[in-house]
Amino acid sequence: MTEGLPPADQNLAVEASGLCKWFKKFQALRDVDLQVRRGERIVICGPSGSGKSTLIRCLNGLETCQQGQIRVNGRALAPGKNNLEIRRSIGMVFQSFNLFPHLSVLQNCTLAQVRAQKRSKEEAVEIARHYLARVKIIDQAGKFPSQLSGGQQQRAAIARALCMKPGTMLFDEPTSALDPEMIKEVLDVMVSLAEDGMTMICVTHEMGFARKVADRIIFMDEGRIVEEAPPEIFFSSPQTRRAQLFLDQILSSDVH
Amino acid sequence: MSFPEILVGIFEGFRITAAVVFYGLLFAVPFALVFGILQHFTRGILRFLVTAVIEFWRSSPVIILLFVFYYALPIFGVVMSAMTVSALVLGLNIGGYGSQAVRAALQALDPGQVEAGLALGLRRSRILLLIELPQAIAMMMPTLMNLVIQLVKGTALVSLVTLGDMTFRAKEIAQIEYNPVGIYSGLLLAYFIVCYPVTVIGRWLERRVGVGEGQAHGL
Repeated sequence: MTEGLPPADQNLAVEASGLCKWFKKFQALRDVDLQVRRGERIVICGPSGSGKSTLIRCLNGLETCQQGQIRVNGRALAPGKNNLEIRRSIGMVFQSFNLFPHLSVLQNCTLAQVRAQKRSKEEAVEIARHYLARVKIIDQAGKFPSQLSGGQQQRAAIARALCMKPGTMLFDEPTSALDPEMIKEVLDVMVSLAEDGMTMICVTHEMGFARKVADRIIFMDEGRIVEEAPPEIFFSSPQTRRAQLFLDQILSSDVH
Repeated sequence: MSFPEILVGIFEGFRITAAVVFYGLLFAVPFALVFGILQHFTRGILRFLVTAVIEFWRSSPVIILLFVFYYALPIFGVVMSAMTVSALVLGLNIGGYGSQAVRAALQALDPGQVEAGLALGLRRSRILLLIELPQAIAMMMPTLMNLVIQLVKGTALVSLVTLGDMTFRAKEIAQIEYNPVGIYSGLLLAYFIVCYPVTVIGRWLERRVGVGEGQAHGL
């Protein structure tokens, strides 16, 4: 499965080549190549239906590509399998949080540590409390997800992912389901993660966040990567007409 | 016989009724869980077979199943006690209904729950056990309690395969003296007395397993 990829490079956290994905007849990804260095912060943006979410969901195998290869930390992703090791090394944050509603915030954070990584209960609780403190909701640890605000839930979800001590974090529109006043608290957590050198791949429309932390912006349209540039270049002089249009729309809507 | 005497007479069959319910549940609960889960996860021919078994048990009239298993199978050398036949037939019939509640609850869960489990690197079986089932069972509690009550009421048929349950006792009393109004309203009352605590326990259980306390009690 790795014939399309060059030999594994230890500096790369994620490499993908020639990804093609169809949902029935609709082609969601068209020959997508992506290389993410360790510690790199990538923001993927583009209009809805452009394949951004599909792309990052492929990176930890939540979606299977019909063509192409993916390697995470030098390890090839086996299509259609439960890639346990790879998934434990990549954290994912979802648009709709996907916290486990029947478990407390603390239990949400310890479940996979104990059941997937075989940590002791005490160690798991200690790690969970550390990351809950880090995302500033340690005082909510005993509550159930439904008792938290949206912003708190998303921060809990970030803490849950961090508890696995992943090398890479995927964010799938983490602020899209939030009320405006809660977006900042989540973005602040993400900025602090970025400052600590976490490898991050974020699908987001938060262009302020992209400008601030991204090393590279990837712009997608109709399943293709159309443009790839550092934020200062992407925002000031987008090369393609499609990206210009997108930026006009998204930035003008910021003003209103 | 006075009405209280009739009731006391009917309740002489309570132990049999309770035993059929208890043993019936030993068939019903595992059947509902295993076949509901299998139907949810299998595809193709395997799913067809699973569905066929469920349909057999839930689409056949209990009274006919009782007669077949108790009176007809011994001809082919399969002999089971009246209690075994009653628990098996009633249990698997109710279990057939229950399997559909299990499957429906699993299907109704937000797929994001499984995805979150996968993204954390949990095995699929762990996700089912630790994430899906606890939520599904909480969701189907009202239906399950319905089925338990239905099982209790269904036991009224086992008197037809010689078991001395409450209905059997009532019919015995009816042979001693002619008092259909007293005896059968006493029998109705007897089943109500047995079933009502089940609904009360059921509501208490529903509250206990309510998914996330916040949802059960509001914020």
